[in-house]
Amino acid sequence: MFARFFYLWINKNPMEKEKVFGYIVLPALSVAFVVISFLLFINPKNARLLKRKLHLGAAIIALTSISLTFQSCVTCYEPAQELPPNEFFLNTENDSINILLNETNKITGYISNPVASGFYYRIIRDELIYQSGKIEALDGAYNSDMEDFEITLNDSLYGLYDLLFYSGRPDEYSYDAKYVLNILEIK
Amino acid sequence: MKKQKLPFIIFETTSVCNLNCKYCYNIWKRPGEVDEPKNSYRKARRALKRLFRLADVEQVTFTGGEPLISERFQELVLFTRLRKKYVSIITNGNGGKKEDYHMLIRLGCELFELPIHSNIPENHDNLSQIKGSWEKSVQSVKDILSLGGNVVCVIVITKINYKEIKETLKFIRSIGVNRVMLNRYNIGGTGLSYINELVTTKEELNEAFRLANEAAEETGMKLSSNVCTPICLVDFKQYPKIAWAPCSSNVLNKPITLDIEGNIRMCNHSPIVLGNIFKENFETIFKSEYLKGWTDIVPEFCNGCDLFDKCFGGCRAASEQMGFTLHEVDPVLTCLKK
Ligand code: SF4
Ligand code: SF4
Repeated sequence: MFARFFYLWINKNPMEKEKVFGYIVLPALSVAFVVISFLLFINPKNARLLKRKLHLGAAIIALTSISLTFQSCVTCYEPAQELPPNEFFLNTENDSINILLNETNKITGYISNPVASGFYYRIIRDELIYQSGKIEALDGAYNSDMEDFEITLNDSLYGLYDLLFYSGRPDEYSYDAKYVLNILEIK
Repeated sequence: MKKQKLPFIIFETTSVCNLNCKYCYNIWKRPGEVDEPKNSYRKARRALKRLFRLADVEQVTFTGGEPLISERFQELVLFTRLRKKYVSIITNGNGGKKEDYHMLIRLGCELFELPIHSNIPENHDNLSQIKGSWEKSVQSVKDILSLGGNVVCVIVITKINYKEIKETLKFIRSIGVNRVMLNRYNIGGTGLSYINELVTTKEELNEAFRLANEAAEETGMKLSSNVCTPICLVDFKQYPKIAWAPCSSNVLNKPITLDIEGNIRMCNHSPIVLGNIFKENFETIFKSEYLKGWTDIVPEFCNGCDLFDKCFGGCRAASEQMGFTLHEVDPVLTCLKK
């Protein structure tokens, strides 16, 4: 109840969100959550405690994601928060991208808040690298919050690949973003 | 300690299930296997805790058995979500009520995967071997959608339901779902006892994908085929509206599976345990010779085939379920009805 009340209340008063959230609600919920979890540990079969724990947990998750949305919230009194550094975005709604060769052989996207020493990509299939390279900013310099880029695909590519992005030199085990790349041609 | 980057893990929260699907590939359901029910919140939580200590996991997919009937399931989801992991759930749609889905959505579950094998209830129930399971599954889909959750439906393509696949897809579309996984019947688990009843001919399987491709064209639905299928059985270039997801040779892109005892397998279909997270770290586990065999060993059937580096002989976990080794091609090729 308590958690629900606060959740609804702060949704009605957006200007108060940050203060209430930062100083009161989240710490209070967290303490209550720890206490309930402990009681549940002692009484694992207590359904009421379990219900409370879940409601509190859900409220914490909801509020934490509210706090994340604050980061991109711009008001007249505060500057915009920085965009997440070195994140790769392609012009697609999910983590796969289809390239219709009849229409284009280019992959386009942008890097948010680019602060790494360099940006790279690899197009791989089953650990074999089919194409790789450095990603250059389309306007020639990494000097804005959102820097557009373009990758021109080699003629020989066709079918399904993994497209991996790296901030800094690529290695075998870590990448910053991964997309499934499907290169097709409609005959 | 450097954490292993793991984009994705499948977590089997329990071996217990309330259905008895004829096609079920759960490894503990193979004929002759002693099925000791695994269902413990404490063990499951301990395994997750250990997993998050060893690996930087992005997404956890809960499965079973039926995860929604596993002990204190919602708490496991809460535990995972509080560690900021994406959560999706593979459920049979018969284990939860509307209030359970409501809580799971509030906890931030990103995606629910549920089966609707046919628009004909009897055919779905025939596959699940429980009367009324179709109705419950459909109701669950409607409940989740009404609560604002995301659903992807699954159709397991078998001899029993392949003919009506177009109508089934349109039915699924009519209840508000746009994404469907078309998984051909993959031999294993309970399914080993029903091969004759379930396996299609090559022509029938292709007919199913042709019809599905047509349905996708007509409805705009997003379809994918997620069970690695030998290209000599189905050439997906002929079905451009269906995204084909072959098995990757990169271990990190495989559906690495963890059970509540800490055992790691390369995929939920494979019975081979690669290692145990309570005994080894991922670096050691992933160094296994066995793993290399998945790309290095070419089954005799595939000798000389140019397509091997794309299809790897289909699902060889299915060969393993039949008691064979990686030297055998996907048994669907040898069991196909003539
Ligand atoms: S396929 Fe899923 S729902 Fe069916 S018996 Fe197996 S675990 Fe249960
Ligand atoms: S690799 Fe083997 S299973 Fe795949 S298409 Fe070739 S012969 Fe068929």
